[in-house]
Amino acid sequence: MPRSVAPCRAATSLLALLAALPAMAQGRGETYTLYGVPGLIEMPSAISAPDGEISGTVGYFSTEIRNSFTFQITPRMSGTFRYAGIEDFAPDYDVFYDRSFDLSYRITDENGMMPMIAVGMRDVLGTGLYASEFIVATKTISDSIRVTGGLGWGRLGSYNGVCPGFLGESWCDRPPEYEFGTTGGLPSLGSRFRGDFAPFGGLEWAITESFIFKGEYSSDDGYRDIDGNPLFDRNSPLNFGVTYIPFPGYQFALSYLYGNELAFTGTIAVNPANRIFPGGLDAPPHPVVVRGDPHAAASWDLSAPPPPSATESLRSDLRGEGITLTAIEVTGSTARVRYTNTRYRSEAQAMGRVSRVLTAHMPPGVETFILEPVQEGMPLSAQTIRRADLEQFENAVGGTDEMLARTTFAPAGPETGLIPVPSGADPFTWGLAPFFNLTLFNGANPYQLSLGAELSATYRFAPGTFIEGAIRQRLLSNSDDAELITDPNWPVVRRNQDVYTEEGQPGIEYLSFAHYGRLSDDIFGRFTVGYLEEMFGGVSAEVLWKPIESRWALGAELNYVLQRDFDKLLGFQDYETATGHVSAYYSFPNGFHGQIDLGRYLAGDWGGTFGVDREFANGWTVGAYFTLTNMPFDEFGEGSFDKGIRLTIPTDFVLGQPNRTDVASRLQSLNRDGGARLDVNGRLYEIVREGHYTDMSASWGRFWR
Amino acid sequence: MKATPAACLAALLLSGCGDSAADTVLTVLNTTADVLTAGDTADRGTAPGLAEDGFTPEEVAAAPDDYRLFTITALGVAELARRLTSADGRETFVSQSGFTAAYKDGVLVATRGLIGEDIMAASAPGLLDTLASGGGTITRAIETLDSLNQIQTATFTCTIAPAGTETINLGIRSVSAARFDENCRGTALIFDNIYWLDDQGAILASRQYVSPTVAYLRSNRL
Repeated sequence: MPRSVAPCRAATSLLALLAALPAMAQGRGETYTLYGVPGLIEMPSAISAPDGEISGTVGYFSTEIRNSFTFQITPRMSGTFRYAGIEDFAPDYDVFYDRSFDLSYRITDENGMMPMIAVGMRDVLGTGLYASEFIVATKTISDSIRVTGGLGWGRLGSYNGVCPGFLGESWCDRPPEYEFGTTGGLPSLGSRFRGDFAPFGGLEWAITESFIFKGEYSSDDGYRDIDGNPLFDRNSPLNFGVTYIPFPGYQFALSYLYGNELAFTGTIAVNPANRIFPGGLDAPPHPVVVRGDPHAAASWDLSAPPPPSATESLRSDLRGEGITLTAIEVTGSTARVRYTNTRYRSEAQAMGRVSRVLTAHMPPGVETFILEPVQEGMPLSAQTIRRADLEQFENAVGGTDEMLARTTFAPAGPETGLIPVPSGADPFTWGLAPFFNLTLFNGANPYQLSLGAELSATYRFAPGTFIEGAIRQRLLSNSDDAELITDPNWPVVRRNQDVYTEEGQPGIEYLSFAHYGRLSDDIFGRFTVGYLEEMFGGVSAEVLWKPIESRWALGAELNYVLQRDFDKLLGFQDYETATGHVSAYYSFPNGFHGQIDLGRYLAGDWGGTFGVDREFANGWTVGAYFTLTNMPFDEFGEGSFDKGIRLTIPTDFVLGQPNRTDVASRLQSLNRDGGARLDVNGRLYEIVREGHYTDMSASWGRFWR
Repeated sequence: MKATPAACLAALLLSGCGDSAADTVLTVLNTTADVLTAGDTADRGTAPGLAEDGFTPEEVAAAPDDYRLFTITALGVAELARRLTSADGRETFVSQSGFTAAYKDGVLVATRGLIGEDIMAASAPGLLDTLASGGGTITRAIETLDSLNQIQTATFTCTIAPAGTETINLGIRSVSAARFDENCRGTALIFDNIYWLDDQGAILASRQYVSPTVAYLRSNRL
């Protein structure tokens, strides 16, 4: 029953998580701007962060704060999502909050006398307050000095900008990116690289490894309010600053801007490719017991099924590895086992451990192991491993690749012949845990914090059949009273989130019966009924076609749901609807993953969601998505359509100890009604794919871990 | 401006920002921590067969050849290790604190469970012959696991030379042994292994390189 936000163990303080992450980042000389991208002080440079690096930057001066999240999407391309607050920008706002999205691409690297060159655009999707484009070159002069020069358009062409007449009106007239008061959120590509352009530039001087001085000439004269009046006196185009790097991954900078403003910048950067303990702090596995070793367990006559004592001994040893043995079959020279991995993120690692434990328990006559990983009662696949290969390639250089090459992947076998092994676990499990919810930038209250307790429980009738539920009680909150939102055009399906939160104390987060099953070799199914999520209850049915070695998967989900009462107890409101999607999934060979969902959303709007994530083999994911439906942009509201970015941090990456939990978050407008999808627990794809070839091979390096 | 920089930074790392202005909700942290649980505790055990038992003085005295004394200076480790498996010159030992080390004819080929970077696999073809012949040069390979679950292989050119005879303390006895030093150089790393051999040329004790964070594992027969 995976949830989008999985529980962390008590030791997994999120603050500790945050504090621990940056220690793993490794800078390579890039420092961050007030816009949260590698560069000078306000001006960009051509340098990129290391591939995969994720950074969070706060840039602050008297009239403005910028919170930026930058991801180095590929070695050359980066994207930045920014949430900024500007004081005194518009008459009706004390602080005007604005979102923006940037893209940058490094075209060339430094080569001899040639500098690195990059092109970029700021504020591609937002209101255009920061809209600007640039072409920039950066050259390393010595071990400690780097210079940058470029041309900027938009805001970056607003100080002493020119546009020679011979370029014509089409290039010199820059259409406005955004009309204030409209819903915004749309690409403003028609304005890009048009209008006046101006030069900018600067230098970075590394005084020591920890202190970097920067000076720049800024071509930005765009600090103006909605009427075009300056937000502050811009006395000079020159900015100066010092960046301090106390530890790799942490940067703090003080700058003096435009002869008038003192600015602070703080950045934390982390790279999924840099972990404190690269392989983790996993307990050692049982080593392979080569046949003939006197340390092997007692054998039995292979003409008979394994005696209960042998099965119990195997079950016990696997349980010590965090693996639940569910069934076994030993026929002739082949042993087939089904098991559920409860500890390791990588099913390849679990398989490596199961196979090694089997070498200690199976009679010498057993030559072949067939391993069938099971999740939610569904046998996901079957891997056939030769025992002799395990004996030969343990601790052998090249042994990891050899095992992958020699292991065959196939659909799980039939139930016939398997002897079920009682897990010995209590079918009833429960947990009491604190929850912590931080919501930022919610209208007039940009900083909402709530703390409370969550009581959850699960009763398993069978491995893939269970009832689960959770009740939450908020104990501490600074939320304001929630106002009920109504809409004459569309059902309000998400915008009353605050009302649910306010009135649902205590509230049932979910309470549902779920059943999973494998319908054929490559088709898996789920049926869920009950209070499916915080705001909707009903029935949900899903099927997934996912061949073992395919990078493709196709799924279909159909739900009939009723809107729950705001008190989050047992009642429902009048609104009910059918919602569902057909989905296509594809794992690209380069680590990217795409998903398209087409169908009907909760408000009755029809459309599709398109998402791309970069997936790291250790569990990190960073992605973006958007949803377009037949709900008109002006009826959707601000932002025009739903879009956002999402991030998953595997807790074992930080803690070192193996576990399967994540801290997952989405950077998204949660309270809009267009493109809103049911949030049912335990969708099939993420469960099934873990046991298939593409996911297993991506983390196959852990087979011998 | 009410949002503090620290809060914003936390938000940026662990979740969300929206795409519309005044009424966008950004769920930033929404997580729970298990403080009380009941029921299945299958994921809280330790690896099988690696329990702490088997280290009583009587057990050690009864079969001293089944034990080694492991020392890792960088980690403050000095403890006994018990043989878990052995076949064809391959032996795996588990230490009292729970990490394992595997040897092939006395040459360290893997570790698991160290507080630091383990050796996933290693090879040193020709090392024993070179020791027997009094010195020479071999090529080593060491595999480690990186942060993205990929195996990384580093190769080293190693020069082995005799370094006289020393009396070494094996814990319960002192013996005279021939010492050989092995100097290994790779593209980014240099390390020095030491072997002490008995009269038959078998490795009585060794100090062998593991990884940058662990440095060396010394193993003594008893």
